This record gives sequence, C-alpha cells and structure tokens, in this order.
Amino acid sequence: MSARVRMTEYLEIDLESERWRCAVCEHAIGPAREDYKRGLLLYDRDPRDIYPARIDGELSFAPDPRWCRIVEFYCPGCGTQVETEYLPPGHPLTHDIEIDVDALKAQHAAHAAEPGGEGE
Amino acid sequence: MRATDTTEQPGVPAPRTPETDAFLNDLLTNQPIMFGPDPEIMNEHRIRPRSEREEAALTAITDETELTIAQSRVEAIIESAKDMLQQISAAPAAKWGDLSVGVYSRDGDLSLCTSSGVNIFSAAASPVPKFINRYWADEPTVGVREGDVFYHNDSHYGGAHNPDHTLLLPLYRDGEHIAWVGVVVHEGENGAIDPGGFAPRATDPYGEGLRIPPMKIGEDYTLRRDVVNMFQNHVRDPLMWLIDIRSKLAAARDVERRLHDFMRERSPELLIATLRTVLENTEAEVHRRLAQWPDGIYRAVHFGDCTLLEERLYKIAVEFEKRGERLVMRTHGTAPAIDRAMNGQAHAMKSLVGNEFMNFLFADLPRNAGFVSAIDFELEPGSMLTATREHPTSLSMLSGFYLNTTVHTALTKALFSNPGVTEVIAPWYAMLPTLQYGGITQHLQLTANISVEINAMGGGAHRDRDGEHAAAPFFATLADWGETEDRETELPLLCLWRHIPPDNHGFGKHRGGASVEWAYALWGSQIFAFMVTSTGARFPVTGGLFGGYGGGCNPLTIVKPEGGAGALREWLANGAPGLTYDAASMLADRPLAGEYEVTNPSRPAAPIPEGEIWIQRIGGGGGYGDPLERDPQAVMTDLRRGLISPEVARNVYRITWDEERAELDAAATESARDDERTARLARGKSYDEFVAEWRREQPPEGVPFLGSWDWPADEGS
Repeated sequence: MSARVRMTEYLEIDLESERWRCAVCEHAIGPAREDYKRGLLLYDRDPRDIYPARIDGELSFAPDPRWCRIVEFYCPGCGTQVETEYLPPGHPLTHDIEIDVDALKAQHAAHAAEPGGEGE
Repeated sequence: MRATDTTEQPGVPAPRTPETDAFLNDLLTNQPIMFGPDPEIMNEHRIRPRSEREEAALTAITDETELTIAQSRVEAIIESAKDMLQQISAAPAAKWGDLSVGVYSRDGDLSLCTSSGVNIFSAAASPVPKFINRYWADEPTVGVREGDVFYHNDSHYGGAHNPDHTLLLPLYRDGEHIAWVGVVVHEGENGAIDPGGFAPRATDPYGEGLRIPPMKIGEDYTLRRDVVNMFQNHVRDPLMWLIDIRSKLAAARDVERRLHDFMRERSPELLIATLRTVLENTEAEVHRRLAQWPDGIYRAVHFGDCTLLEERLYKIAVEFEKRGERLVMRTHGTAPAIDRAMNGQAHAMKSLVGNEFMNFLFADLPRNAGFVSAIDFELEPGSMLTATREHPTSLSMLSGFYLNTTVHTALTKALFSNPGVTEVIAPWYAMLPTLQYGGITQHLQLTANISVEINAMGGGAHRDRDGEHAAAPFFATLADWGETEDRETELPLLCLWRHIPPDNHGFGKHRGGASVEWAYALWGSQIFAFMVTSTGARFPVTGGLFGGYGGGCNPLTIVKPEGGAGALREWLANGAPGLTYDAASMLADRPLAGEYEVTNPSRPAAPIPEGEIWIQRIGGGGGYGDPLERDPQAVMTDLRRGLISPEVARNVYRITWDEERAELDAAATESARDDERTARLARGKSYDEFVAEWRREQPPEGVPFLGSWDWPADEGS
C-alpha cells in the first residue's frame, strides 16, 4: 500500500511518518500536522526581478515593491520553487493548507480497501 | 363617585380598545412604507423544501430515464433561446455572451440555466422570483397571472449588480403556476452618475442610476409603454433599453412557448419533477464529490490596489473548512464595506462561489441553485463582500473578482489530491480594464456602455499545459470579445491596435495565457467621454499556483496628441512612424508629439478631445509550477513570439541562447538552471529567520490599507 498522498504539485504527505515530503527529491519537509511552509526556505523577492520595468517611474508595468513583494518558498533539498505568495511588505504569511491527518489516513485506508483500490 | 367622562379632550389620547389595537397592529405589521429587500430571502441560499406539488410530481414520475431526457430537452430549449437573444440584443455585452437564460422552480430556485453565457446571472437572480411570490402574488394591486411580465435590476433585491437586468415570466398550465422563466442580460447603461452602467463616482446607491425592484411591467405578454418610457427617461441610451426589454421578452416567450409544448406533449408533472430532481441531484452530487477531498482548512488572500477614486490596498481573504461532505466558507479579515461602488452583496458573492463550481470545479454538472445550496457560509458582516442596502455596488466586480481568485486558489489546493473530473488550473485573470464610454456617436445617437475587451481575460495555466490567450472571462468561459470593426462602425472609436504585449501573463512550468492590450482613439465625435474602472497598476491582479508567478501590472496610458485629431490623422496618413503597438514603447519613445500620461487604471468618465488615445492591457492568467521546469524550447517559442522579453527568458526561466541564430543552448541552460537552484538554497532563509525579518505590525508607511492586517491567531505568521 502506498503511504504517500500527493497534496500539491510538489508536496506529498507520508502517512506513516506523518511528514510533508518534497515530491521531487523526497526531502522530509516537516510534520504533516504543521504548516509545510515552516520546513521550506523563504526569500523576499523584489517583484521587479520577475517583471521587468518597461518605463521609469512608479507605474512602470512592474509591481511597485513598496506595495507588493513576492515570497518565494524553496525545497531545502533540491531548490524547487514549491509556492509563491504575493503580499504587501510585512503582511503575515498564509497558512494555506491545514490537513486533518487522521481523516486523511482514514480516507486513504477506506479508498485502498475499495474494490480495485490499492489494498486489493 | 363621578361617572367616566368619555368625551374626547384636546391633548388626551383616546382610550385603547380592541378595535384600535387591531388597527395599530395592522398599521405596524401589514402596512409597510415600502417593500424593501427581504432579509430572509436575501440571506437564505438553500433550495426551498419540497412543496406538496413537487412531492406529488415526484411520486407520479419515477423513471430516471424519463427525467434525464426531460432535463436535456429543457436545456436545449434555454440554450436555443439564449442563442437567439444573443443575436437580437442591442447591448454590446449581450452580443458577446454576457447573458443567461434560466428556468426557476415555482418557489424561485434556479433549476436550470444555460451552460454558455453567465451562470452567475441566473444564480444571483433567484431572490427575485421569491420576492415576487412573497410580496406581489397576493397583493391586490399587483398579483401574478399568466402573461404577466416582471422586471428587475436593483441588486439589493437579487442579481450581481445593477447593470444586469432580469425579465421574468411566470409559466402557467391550465391556470396553475408551474415555474418561472428568467432572462438576464448585462445591459450596461442605467442612468447613473457615470455613463455605461458602472458608477465609480457614486458614494452611495443613489448615484447608481435607475434601481428597479421586482415589479410588473406588462400583462398579457404586452409591455406597458408608459412604464418602459419611464425607464427610458432615466437613461442615456433609450433605444437600447427599448430594444432589449423587447428582446428579453421575446427570448422568455420562446422558452415559455416551448415549455408549453413540452407540458402538452408530456405533462406538467414531468416538468415539475424534472426541475426538482435536478436541483436535489446536483446538491447531492456536490456533497458526494466534496467528501472525496481531504478534510482540512484551506486559505487564500489577495489584494486590490485601487478603490476607484484613490489608490488603496484592500484585502480579500477566504478560508474554507472542509469536513466530510460539508464545506464552510469564511471571509474574516476582508476589507470593510466602503463608500465606493466596489462593494458586493452576500447573495451575489455566494453566487460567485457557485460560479467557481459551475465553470471550473464541477463543470460537468447542470447549472442551478444546488451548487450554492451545498455550501455553508459564515461571511463576516460589514465587509466589502457583505454590503448593506446603503452601500453602492455597481462595480462589485472589484471585490467579487478578487474573491473569485482567492476561492479558486484555496479550493484548487483542497481538491488537488483527488481532483476527479476537475482540471487543475492556476488562477484566471479577473478584473475589468475595459473601455467604458458615453456620449453622441458619429451617427448622432446618444449611447453609453462598455467595450467588450473585458471578455479577453487570459486563462490560467493548466497542470499539464499552458493557459489560453485572451480566452474568455472566468464568469463566462464560452463568451467572445467581439470584432474591432464592429466597435468602429457603431462607435466614434479608432482602434489603433489590439495586440498581445510581452510579459503579460504568469510565468511557470506552464505559463498562463496572455491577453491583449487595446488602444482606442476618440474619432468622429466631439461629445464623448471615456472611462476605465480597474485595478492592478501596483499590485498584480493574478497570483500563480504551486511555484508559478502571477501576471504583471497594467496601468492606463493616455496620449493627448499635440494638434489633436488632425495631428493624429496626419501621423497615421504618413504611416505612423515609430508606432510599436505597445503602450510601454510608446511611453518610452513618444513617436507622436503630445502629452503622455501613465496612471492607475481607474478614471471616472469625462469628455475628451477627439484624437485622444487611451491604451490599456487586459491581464493574463497565472502560471503553474516552478519556471525552471518549463521546457526550454517552449521558452524559446515564447521568446520568438514576443510573449516574453529576453529579460524574462534569462532571469526567470534561466535559459541561454544564441541571440544571432535564436537557438537554444541546452547545455548552458541546464547549467544556468542548476546554478539558480543552488542560489535559491544559498539565499533562502529558514521560516523563523525569515519571519523575524519580514513581519511588520502594520502596513508599510504611505500605503493606505483596508482590512485586517493580521490573520487571526494560529492562521499565519
């Protein structure tokens, strides 16, 4: 029985160890009952690095760095960019995924027990 | 002892009697000053319990095949009527798909609406037949009878915002009221303080023009000309109003006639049973699918950067708690309702959530009120998403579209592990930087409305492929955005270009779809106003998903040619030397002598001189996944097509190429990408270290902010 559930493009939860893992390099990111972002590397990106300013001035077709920053989240194992968050400078980060691990285990076990499921 | 003196004395109240008590009680409870929006109707989003008539019909009709065939037939009827309405309507938005046709149960729940068009129109209008049922059916001066025509546009009684107009016919069979037929069109012009239907200068609902509560405007299928004349007297485009009230009536009558055929050939019971079954089945199926998602809490937040008359950040936050088959939506922390026309009402915001399910998550199910009925809402009162009757709302999209983005992002994370039939897509572009106008056309006709480039929103990147360019609005995924030649023929406009500019989408493993930049000059009229009401000059409208980036920023560019229309004509006649079909290049190179301005994309209507040019981008969709995973050859293709600049190819996608031969250097690209991953590991900080440096107790100085700065305890850092 597979004990991993893919939760996002780059994150999975290992049901046996109850840990978030990187789906690219299998790095153990942190406890599945906690915010996965706590186990990643974070970087405060000036948005003008991503969107080139086309003209001089505040309204340059790039975001205004006084109003908007991009927080980039990297896997500490492989450097994959797992998530981005667009926030005003200093705004609290978002705990975007808070999984009920016990329910996930039960759901996974029930699915595996279904005819044609992974437990067959 | 003196006898009681019953003579009335001046200043002394008459004694109370059972008769006076009854009179006062009737006065206070049954004689309202007016019939305002009913809170019970507006706040209740569940489908009504089965009526006795529905119970009887469901007992009589038990063959599921029969019900399924009947459903398909009703769907074919309303789709056909919608197609016809699209052809005969005068409103620009209607011509390109911003309309909907639906059938509602006798009790007023939307049972089926067109899969093309704007589902939210029909869904948000459910309170309207409920109001008519409750207040007008037994009112001796109104009543509901076969052939009656009802109309409505005041979104405080239902609907998404006042530019959307609803026409309703009660469907009868042998004297029995069976159902409601409803037609909704984004008409635009309403006689508001600003032309075209949106009113950025309105600071209360009284500046938003004509506000029609649910009312009867015709009997025996005949419109009351005096009532229609009163409507026309309020607005800047009386011809469009006349044509489109008649068009909507024609479409509703087409549906009614064909449903009469249906009931004659089959039975009224089958129609009633079908309308009820599809509602109940949809709600049950939504619950069943929700149960497949992992239990947990999912959150998302996004920020607008302009409140129509000034630049301010405002926060739209959502939280979904999913347990078993139950899904609860909360919005705490969202900006408060304000004295700007960008507030949304709770019923319309719930319908927007329904739209997300209908158009993106469970798009294979029939469109009806069962979607929203399956969801629980705990919306924070007093917020920009739960405006009161005293708040202006004609531009509710400025809050509702961000709500769509946050809802989409949070629910995509909720369903990713078990998507079923749902396609995982990054956020769609969702804002309205389209041209709005009013004035006298080159045909000497008074007009006011919007140009339909709003429908050219860039699609979000898919999990397995890129997003579509200028695809469609997220609220009407089969809509079109019209032909330049039509605009120029009907309106005093000269389209200088509609062109996809570089870097106008989200970057990622799969990139978002880009959208167009439009450039219109006033041409052939000296009495005309332009207007734009959008956001996104400083803070991108669209975010990315799973490591992808969102779209860029899109300010408004205005060019005032030196010498006016004559100078523009001469420049064009000479081949428009230096024209680059791109606002940023125009601003940098200034190929046409004149005054150049770049500003946030929200400017209320004002007359402009002929020859003045306005340039604005519609935004692109969000990117999906780490940009370093994008196929380098796909990046080269984007580069060759002008979808991205060399800076983005180099700095975001980290590809290396031979610039002379435009040929990818695969080995150098692989090396550059490895270097970037290593650099990420070097510059990335641990969560605690990052938060210690990052967090501020309040918004940055000089950045006005609306909403709760902090998440509630335990929801963020």
